[in-house]
Amino acid sequence: METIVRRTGIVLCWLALWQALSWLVRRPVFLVGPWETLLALTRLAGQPAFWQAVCSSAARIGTGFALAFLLGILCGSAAYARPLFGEMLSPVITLIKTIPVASFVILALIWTGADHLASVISFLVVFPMIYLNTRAGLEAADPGLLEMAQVFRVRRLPKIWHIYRPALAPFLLSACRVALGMCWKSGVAAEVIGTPDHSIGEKLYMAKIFFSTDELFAWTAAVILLSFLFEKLVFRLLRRVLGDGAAA
Amino acid sequence: MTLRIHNLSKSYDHIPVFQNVSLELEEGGVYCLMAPSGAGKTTLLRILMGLEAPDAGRVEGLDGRPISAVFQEDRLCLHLNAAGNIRLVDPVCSDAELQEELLALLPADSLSKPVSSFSGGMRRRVSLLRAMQSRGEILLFDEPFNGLDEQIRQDAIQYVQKRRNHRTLLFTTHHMEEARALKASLFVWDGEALSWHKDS
Repeated sequence: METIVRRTGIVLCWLALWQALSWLVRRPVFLVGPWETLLALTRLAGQPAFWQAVCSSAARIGTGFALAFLLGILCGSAAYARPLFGEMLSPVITLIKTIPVASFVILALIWTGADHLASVISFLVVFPMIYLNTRAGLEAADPGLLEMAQVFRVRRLPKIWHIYRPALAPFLLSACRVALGMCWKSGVAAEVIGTPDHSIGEKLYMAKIFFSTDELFAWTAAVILLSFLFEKLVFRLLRRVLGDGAAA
Repeated sequence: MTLRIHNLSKSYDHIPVFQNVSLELEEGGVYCLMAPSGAGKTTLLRILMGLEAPDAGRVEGLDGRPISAVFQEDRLCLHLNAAGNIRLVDPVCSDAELQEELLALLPADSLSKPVSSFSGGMRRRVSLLRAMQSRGEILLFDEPFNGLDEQIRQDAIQYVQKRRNHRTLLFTTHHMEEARALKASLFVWDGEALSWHKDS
């Protein structure tokens, strides 16, 4: 209880500072305060276009994340089971990790057009993280337990579920924590460059063109909120599947 | 089928652990390896379990037969309870059967708890229960009664006797009374030759 009060206090303190700063600047084009942001957000939330943008961006980014998550686990497991496959994949992963997101955005625009842009980008950002952490998690499985399973001839499925899954859980969860934030940031950034219709990125771009800084702040707040909700949802699902091992 | 170990040698980084070990274990017999630490007891068991390859020599009478093991460490899935750990190696046993088995060595109030909450001695008992309950035909136990206090150790030894069902048992220990209690034939370590011979 005490920590909640303290944390709320700290947040209010920063909000007050932000508001004071915006009053001092007195130029809404440069900086709007939290109150103006809230007003802009409520105004936007009253329009169907807001929800359309939120839904389509969330669907695109979510699709990219889900595909990257599934394929990352699949490829990570395959690379663990067949090291040659891992070696084959290694240069590709390094490439994906080092190529700037901006280059990918341009490439993806040329290849797939603006509509699938956010999906492609969030996939490319998330995939290497899930892939590498799946491999690391499986490699962290207790060798003593694996020997035990070998001697007692434990079947494949129980072995995966009771020996590999608990080892994988902490790696996958920490990878997801980072990946979830990154996929929203890069997905929205890609949308700003590609400006697909009815997307958060398009709205942010419009806010820039019309110098409506309050809407820029409102959309930013919306993205933060969406990213937070998305993280909660994914973590709830993951904890259910990964079980006790995820508690650590 | 008699288990024959012929001239088995093993070394790590050119340092011999043991050389030319030959042992014969008759079907259904109880055998005990007694030696100070570092004499290669664990290595010998690991070779029999198929976890390591010998440098020279061969083992006969083991091909494809299911093995049951107690490792030097407990090697339990900590998030599972005792029954879950046993089910992992023997998925076919019934609930009632399992419950009764567990109560032979564990207190009733521990059965629903994950093994992670168990003391060292209780974990040892679970790994012993797991080994006895699995369908292995050959029992290879590495210091199975280690870390058990006196009364529990007696119970555990009795439990092994009762549940062995004429299966061949080879175990290691530092305590002569464990070998005696299980009426085991003894293999003792001949320090100089780095080999084992049967105690007459």
